[in-house]
Amino acid sequence: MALLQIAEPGQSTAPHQHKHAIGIDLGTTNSLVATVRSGQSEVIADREGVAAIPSVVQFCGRGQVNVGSEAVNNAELAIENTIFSVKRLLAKSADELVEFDLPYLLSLENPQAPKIRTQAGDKSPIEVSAEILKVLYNRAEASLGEDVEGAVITVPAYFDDAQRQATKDAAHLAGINVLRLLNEPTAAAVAYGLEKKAEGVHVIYDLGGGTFDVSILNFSKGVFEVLATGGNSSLGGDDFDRKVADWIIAEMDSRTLNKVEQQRLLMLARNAKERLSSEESVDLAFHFSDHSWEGELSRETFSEIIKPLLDLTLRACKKTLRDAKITVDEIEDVVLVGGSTRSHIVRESVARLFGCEPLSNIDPDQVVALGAAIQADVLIGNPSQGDVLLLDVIPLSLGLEVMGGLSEKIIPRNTTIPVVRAQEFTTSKDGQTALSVHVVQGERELVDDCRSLANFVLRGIPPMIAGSAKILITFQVDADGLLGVAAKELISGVEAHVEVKPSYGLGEDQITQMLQDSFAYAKEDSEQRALREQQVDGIRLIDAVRAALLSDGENLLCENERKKLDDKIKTLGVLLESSDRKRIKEAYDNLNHASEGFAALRMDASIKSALAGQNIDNV
Amino acid sequence: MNQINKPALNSNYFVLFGLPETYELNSKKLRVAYTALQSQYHPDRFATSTNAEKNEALQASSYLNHAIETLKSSAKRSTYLLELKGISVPDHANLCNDTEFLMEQLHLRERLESAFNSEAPEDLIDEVQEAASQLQIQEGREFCRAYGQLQSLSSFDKDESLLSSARDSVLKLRFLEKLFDEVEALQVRLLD
Repeated sequence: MALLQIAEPGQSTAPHQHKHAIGIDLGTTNSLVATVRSGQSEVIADREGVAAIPSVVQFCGRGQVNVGSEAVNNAELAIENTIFSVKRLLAKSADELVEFDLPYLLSLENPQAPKIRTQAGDKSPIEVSAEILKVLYNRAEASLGEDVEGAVITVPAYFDDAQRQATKDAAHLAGINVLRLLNEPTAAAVAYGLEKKAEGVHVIYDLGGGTFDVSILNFSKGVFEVLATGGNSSLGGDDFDRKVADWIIAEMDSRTLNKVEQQRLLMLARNAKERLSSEESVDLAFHFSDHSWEGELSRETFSEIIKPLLDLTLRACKKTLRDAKITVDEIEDVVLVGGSTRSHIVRESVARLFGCEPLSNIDPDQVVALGAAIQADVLIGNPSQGDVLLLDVIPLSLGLEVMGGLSEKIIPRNTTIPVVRAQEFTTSKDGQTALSVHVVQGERELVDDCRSLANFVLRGIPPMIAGSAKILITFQVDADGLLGVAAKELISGVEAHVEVKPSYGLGEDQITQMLQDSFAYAKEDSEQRALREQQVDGIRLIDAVRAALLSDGENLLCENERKKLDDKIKTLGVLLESSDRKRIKEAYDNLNHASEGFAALRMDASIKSALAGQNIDNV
Repeated sequence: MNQINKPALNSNYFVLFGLPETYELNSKKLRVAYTALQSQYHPDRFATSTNAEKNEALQASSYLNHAIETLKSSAKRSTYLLELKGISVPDHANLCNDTEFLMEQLHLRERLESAFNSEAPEDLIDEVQEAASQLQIQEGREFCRAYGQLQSLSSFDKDESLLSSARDSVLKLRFLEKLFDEVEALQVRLLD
């Protein structure tokens, strides 16, 4: 290695201290991890060269967890323990989850923090997400060495405070140092290096598996600014699959399918959709219990099927343009993100709406992770060419409940963050000593139509006549889009504040506990694995020696030698039943050593027998 | 909002961005100064720093955002200009002796309301927006006039009628800003 460290004259000869950071795209359907190596961003693939990990987590017995394709492959066997698209479930209440019509059993003991029943116990969506993050992080560590400084994790721009908090909690739980939550569209813009092009307005159209985002970004003087974001947090390629599946069900006459069949049908639909990106028409066949169905899906029919969904995305684009006060002709370019933008009909529709051919030369599945990696690299202080600053906005208004169940907006949506806003409130009753503060997020007038983020009470207000207390309520949103709220009565000085940890998230205590548990398990796990490996090795050795004895033992060994080997086999065999790895190892080494002589004899014998009867000239 | 002040940043928003303390605004210059400061103070520049530094960056960056928003809005900017001279215009201040202006507001709002159910809502909205923009320019001029004359006095409270004219303009600018908000809300509703 020393020879590789060539220093320019006059420069330090210290080894190159390049720090590593990673970008994680925690997607609905697939997740990726990327990094910057030698100034180039690249996704980190597995040994087979596959970059994307399906965002699927399977809980098996005995604490084993499968993530990714392994979980997908076994999905049919354990559908209730296999969790797909967990990102959609993040920070949802029990009522919302029930609407998803999931194939899992739910644990609704705490309706604000529902969990999924698995054979490994009840798991919150945050815990499930953490499993995916762990796999990505481990992959990065294995590829980069131990020196991963931290990660930028992307979230849809449309994610509300609760969903962002949940994502951060999941990362925390996975033991990841989060440098920044970054909006996915912004990451895509960074990946395309739009900042290196002319200054101007860019549109990011991101149609992923489970979410649709559109963002209008302005780049000027080294600063990327999100002008406005819009979209739909529950619309994506998965819905295309569902529409196609519904179409197939209608085609093959209505019939109720069991859960496994439903899942298979969805996979068939997804496969058909993907093939339509390159084929004009695909043949379909679906076999279930005692029936089978065959049919054909053309691009044209597919277009018709998904048109209502596509129109929703186009309408959201128009709305967001309006929010940004931008007209179509001001747009410099449009970037396509998300696997679903591979569909021709999607591309055509987008091109038509914006009147220009969208950019798609970076893999739309990887572009977000690549951008996140670039930004992570900048954040840990590695020199970059661009040195771009990203200014984000909050996607949804933040407000407080006021009299009559109405929401009073404190920070309107599309406000640049970080931001602090304070507003003065007062008491409504004589002698009132406490004020309940209810923080909500959303655009609607009625609190009931908004998402409830937190509830807390400011106590100890000195009794006064109604309207004379001065209560200053301060909202602070940080650069990740996470909210803290403080209330202070200005005359007496009493105060109260909350980090808005929505009730969907996990408390700090819970996370600490879970982290400790997972470390304990991790140690136990690796010990278990080593034992298993030793046991398997032992079994293999016994089998091999026994087989050899059976074929050549009589010819090659004297009785004494044979007994020695038999004894050692017996000892190892008994120990294999135990869980004493050390003693198993000893017995294994003993048998291995003792059989070496026998193995040598066999080698000689086999050469002799191979040579026997052959003319020496032929050898 | 002064509790988020950061010592290194000037407490006067105009000085902060290197702009003259006037109602007329060079938005381009504001933008350039803002991005330069944000590039320096944004929390992303402190991603691997200590928590204390991160927190300071958060405060500073929030302060910059608050400052630019105050200057960008005509209603907030005019309020702020008076505030700097020790004159406050509370939200619940009594508008406004100008019945003509109030009638016009009422009229514009009614037109806006009717747009939602009309055949060509976009045309009506454009019309309202255009009228409101004209009023905004006009009221801005009124404010400049009163503000300019107040500046030539030794103290702003020396001329009660000029001061009340400036206050009236601020309140009218606030009215108009609310109207623009409503226009936006309506446009969003129409798209839904």
